[in-house]
Amino acid sequence: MFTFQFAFQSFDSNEQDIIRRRLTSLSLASAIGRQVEQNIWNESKLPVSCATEILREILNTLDDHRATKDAFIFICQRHILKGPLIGGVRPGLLGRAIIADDFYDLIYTSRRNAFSTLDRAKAWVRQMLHLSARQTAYRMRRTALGKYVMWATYCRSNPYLNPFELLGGTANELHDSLGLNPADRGKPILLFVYEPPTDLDLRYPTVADAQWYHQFRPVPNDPTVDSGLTLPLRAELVCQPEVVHEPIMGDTIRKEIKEIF
Amino acid sequence: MSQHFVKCHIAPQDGREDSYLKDVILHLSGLSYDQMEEWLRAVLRGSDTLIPDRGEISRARLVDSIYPLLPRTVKEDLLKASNGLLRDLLQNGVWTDVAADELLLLIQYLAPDDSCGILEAVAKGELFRNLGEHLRFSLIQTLLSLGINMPPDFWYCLLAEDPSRFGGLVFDGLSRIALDLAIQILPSLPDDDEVAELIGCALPGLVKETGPGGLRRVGELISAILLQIPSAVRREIQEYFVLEGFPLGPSGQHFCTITHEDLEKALWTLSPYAYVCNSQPIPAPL
Repeated sequence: MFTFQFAFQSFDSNEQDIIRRRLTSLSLASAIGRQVEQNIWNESKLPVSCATEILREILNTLDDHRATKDAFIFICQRHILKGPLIGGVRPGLLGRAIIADDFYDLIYTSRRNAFSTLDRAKAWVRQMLHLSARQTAYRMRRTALGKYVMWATYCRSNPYLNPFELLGGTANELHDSLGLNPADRGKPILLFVYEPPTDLDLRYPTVADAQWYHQFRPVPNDPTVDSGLTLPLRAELVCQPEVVHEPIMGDTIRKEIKEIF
Repeated sequence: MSQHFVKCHIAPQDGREDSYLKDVILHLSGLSYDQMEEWLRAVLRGSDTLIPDRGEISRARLVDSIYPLLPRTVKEDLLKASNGLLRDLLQNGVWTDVAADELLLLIQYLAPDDSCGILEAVAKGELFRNLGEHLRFSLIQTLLSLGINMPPDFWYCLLAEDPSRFGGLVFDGLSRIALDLAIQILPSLPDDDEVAELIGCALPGLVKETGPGGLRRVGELISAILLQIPSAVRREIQEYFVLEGFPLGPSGQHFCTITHEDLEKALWTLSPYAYVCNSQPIPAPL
């Protein structure tokens, strides 16, 4: 069931017109807006109640694409991590690939009382690159590996295998497989492999988790698809499984952090 | 999972690939300076629709990631606009904390030429005292990123305010004035894991920025007061140096005279002037 399409039916025809108009203005505003609008209609994992609230917020906003985007982001933040739990065998190891510069930014902005400059945050992260997994886990025990929502992949054929082992060896190959932001293609990537605590819910990603990110695609509306899927940047590449979960601390790291170029 | 769905999922019928970059470059190339400032303001507030908004990555970083792809004239306008907005932030102050924080981060990323002068003027003025705590830190970090430091008494005051919370930042900030000053506060830190970990965060950058032989130099200075350092902080420091292959032992020297009690008694007010490293005399340590 496409949940937004279902939720849309609960509005009267006048409201439906307004919602349609707002979403059209979003899709005309930019390429990302076009994608977000399409994703909304293709979403099948977000509960209908959440989809209804999101549409209501869009309905009640001003008739302006920026205001509609603001409203969309605002309401999505209330519905992050609302997708159902993934199916299949629960992965024992998860992998997070992140552009190195993005991770420095994340660490710097989330630990304001730890670093006086971005360079110092960078130096702290980079010293981990020559530590063992255990040492890194200890050093990063008080540092969250993400903010708000963490996106991760895993190895479908062997859920206890380092998910990056079977993917390409260069940053660009991995970048394309995982569908990272094309603007950052060619930049170094940091790879984190960690063990999700047993009480950590691993969920399908939804439009509410992706918010204003153009490389996200909702999971196909098919019960045989047991996790989210990445969107490779090249058509010949195979989608990788994808999950979202609450941010967790670095003490869960189980492999050395790697930087690939 | 059938191959069919994989194909449906990735069917490129939409805004995938780099089309958003083309949108951004095209859009920005057609903007006047005033429109550029308006666009940047919208980005920092989070209401722009042209660039991705991923929550965990700052919007400043996203602007920084597209900056190298922009034509030269657009880059110049962007730098000018970020300075214009900085002036607006400091003169009008009607920005939300989030947007102001993003703007200061953007200044750190892009480091436009004139921003040092503008920020220095703020640090010298009353406005600095009136900023909320979060923005005060953003401003301090921006100043440091641009090579402008605060005076030692500013850092000591911060340390007295909450040594557990600010110990790491103070250590970091003082080290940019003089290595000795930073090391001398170590014995005055509270004996808890949180502050110890903050010191652990600061050490790699400190060693790196000390230059060749930095590990030895920092290590020897710390060795001299090792036994005076609270045990949790000492353990963290020793672990770091062991991992770097330079285990520390006490050298028996004692040159630190600051105690935690001294700091708590001290109720310095914020220094009303900016302290530019190397251009003004360094006040004597406590």
